[in-house]
Amino acid sequence: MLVDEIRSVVKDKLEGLDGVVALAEEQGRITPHLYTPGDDLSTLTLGPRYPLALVLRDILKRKPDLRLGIVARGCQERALIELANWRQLSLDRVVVIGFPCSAELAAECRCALPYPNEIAAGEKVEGVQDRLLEEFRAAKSREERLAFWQRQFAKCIKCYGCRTICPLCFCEKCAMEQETWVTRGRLPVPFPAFHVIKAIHTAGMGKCVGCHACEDACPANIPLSLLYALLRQDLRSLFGYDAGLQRVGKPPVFKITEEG
Amino acid sequence: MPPISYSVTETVCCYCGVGCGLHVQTLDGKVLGVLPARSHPVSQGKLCIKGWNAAEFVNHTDRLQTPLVRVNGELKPATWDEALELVSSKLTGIAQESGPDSLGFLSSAKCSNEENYLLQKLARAVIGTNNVDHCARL
Amino acid sequence: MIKTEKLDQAFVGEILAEPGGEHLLTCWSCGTCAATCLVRRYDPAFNPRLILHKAGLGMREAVLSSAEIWQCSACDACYPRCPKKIHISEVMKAIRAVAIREGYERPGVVAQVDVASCIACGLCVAACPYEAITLEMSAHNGTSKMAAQVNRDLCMACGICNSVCLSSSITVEGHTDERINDDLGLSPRLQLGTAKDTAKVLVITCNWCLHALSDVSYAMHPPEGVKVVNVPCSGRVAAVFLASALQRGVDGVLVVGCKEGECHYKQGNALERGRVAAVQDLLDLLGIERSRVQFAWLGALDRGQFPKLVEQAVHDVQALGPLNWGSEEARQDAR
Repeated sequence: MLVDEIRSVVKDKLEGLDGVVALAEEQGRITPHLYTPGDDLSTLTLGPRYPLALVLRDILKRKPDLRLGIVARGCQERALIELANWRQLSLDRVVVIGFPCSAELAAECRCALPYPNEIAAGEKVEGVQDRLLEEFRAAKSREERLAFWQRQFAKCIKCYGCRTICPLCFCEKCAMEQETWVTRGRLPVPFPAFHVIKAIHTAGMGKCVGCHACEDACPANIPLSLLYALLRQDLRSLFGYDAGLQRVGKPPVFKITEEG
Repeated sequence: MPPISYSVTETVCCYCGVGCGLHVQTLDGKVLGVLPARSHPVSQGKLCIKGWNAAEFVNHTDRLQTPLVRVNGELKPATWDEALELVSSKLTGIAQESGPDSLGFLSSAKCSNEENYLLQKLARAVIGTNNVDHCARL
Repeated sequence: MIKTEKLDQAFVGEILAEPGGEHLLTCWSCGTCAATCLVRRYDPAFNPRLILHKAGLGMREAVLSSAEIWQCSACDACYPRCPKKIHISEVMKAIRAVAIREGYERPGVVAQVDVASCIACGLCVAACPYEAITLEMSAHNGTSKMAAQVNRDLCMACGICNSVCLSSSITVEGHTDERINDDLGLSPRLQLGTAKDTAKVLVITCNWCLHALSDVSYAMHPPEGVKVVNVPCSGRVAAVFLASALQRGVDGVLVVGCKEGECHYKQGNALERGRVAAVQDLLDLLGIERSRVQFAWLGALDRGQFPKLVEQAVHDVQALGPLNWGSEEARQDAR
């Protein structure tokens, strides 16, 4: 089984690391876990999709000298690469123990790359071609789009879950919390400035890796990953850039003065 | 390098009656933050804004470390015995002087059902008033 | 009268030896640069021809102690017009280098970093047209952390760094987000705006593109429903600004910048044009009409065209009607 193979790879790698971040399952409960050398790995699970890159990032932020591994799906590895592009993480201290997503999950996420660069076990499945942009535009007229998003954002309770769970949201002073940008005191929000800012600052900046953590964390089930996926497609066609696909060093938004 | 202690404790949010599942992360004994409990049957990996900030008070600078008693208009640290003695004597005094219904008791969503039960027992059986209500009505 | 005792040939030599200063003496003082200069339009005290002339004569103190040598923003409007093909902004840089060596400092306001909130992502470093920002270990709370640091002598206070910073951790006094918001009348408190027949349009113009006096006075007294605010560079207007304005009872936003190639701060206008296009794309995905957010440029040859631009934008936005995001229907549905 895939999980057994991954467990033995983790056991191996733990020898040379301070720990490995992965999901653990005990009595039906799934939690993020840091396995350290010598730990019993039978609880390690590949679990549902989960923003483990966020957990790793937060640990390394406080203890940058640690050498850590992470059991990562494709999107989580891309999140780590993108974090490195934005100077929030040093990839030298991270060992990725990659594994591929199943075809079912790839279809659910509409993911074009349901695997990391290198996988420690298992077999890569083919990604799904996401023709979302054209389909969305074709299916909905401007008025229909407006009505769709109005209905969706009217459900928002401003829990900030989408922001807090996002592996690529790392600002100490978040623009979404500034009254200058987002008015306070009304629900439902009379205009989704909150969402527009989140979209611009993550997907619009080329940071979004499509991990769906935001949507999984939304109590109102707003299809956030749809909006961000649409934006990412735009970015892909304009700049040929896809977050975290390679150690780019300079995502397109950094090339401002060159391209204009 | 000493072993890293990163741990995740699954617990229940104390801010309201829903009881969403929380994962409180600690690193080296210090609270790192909160993640939603992904496989919790009630909250299913989602939280409201109070839940996301449920661990903020743990290390907050404003957090009370000892009971405080107001002496000459100023709050001064006191022992639990001193504080409870003061509360008990004052409440009993007011009940005797102005009657039990001059006192009101407000329970809390942050408390467990058992604690809220005790409070209303205190109100009804000990003090003798039905003036029992809840913080949500404030 | 120029006193020859105050002329210092060594000064000339120093400038010539500095990279960029080699062609100082090639200048024949024709004044084409001064006639073209965008800075001079606003501050007649700034005269590039005179600075080069004085420097070429060796008037060390007069040149180095002046505030004018710091005012050239390297927009290079003069460079293609100089008959002797002198890269004047480079000569200015050379003169500044000599000034810095002698202990002079750029006067006035420059960008400042809030080290506490800076996450050292490097976006401002990439965006600064003058390469005035670097990432350095900076003192913070008794320890140190990586943060952006501004080289005072290179900073032109354009605010482009502020516009790219995701957390506005780098700011320039005088045009902070709050000040611009205040000027636009967008107080943080929620405003739904009263229903009126006129469209409410915000116009944000850069300092330099209003070339004619009639443009300037129109900007100071715009028609009803229009609010005009000045920023140093159109590139100062962050994407979130545009989005955020729409939540405060505004029906449309027009950003006016300098024409391509004429930006006072090199590429600020191009940056803004790209940004507005990106915001338009996002708005379109959400079902909001693209033309509620517009970018237009005003070139040096477009004197007197500003009113037309504004009127066109108002006309466009008026035709779209008021922006009514929070419809009652959507609220009912959500319940």
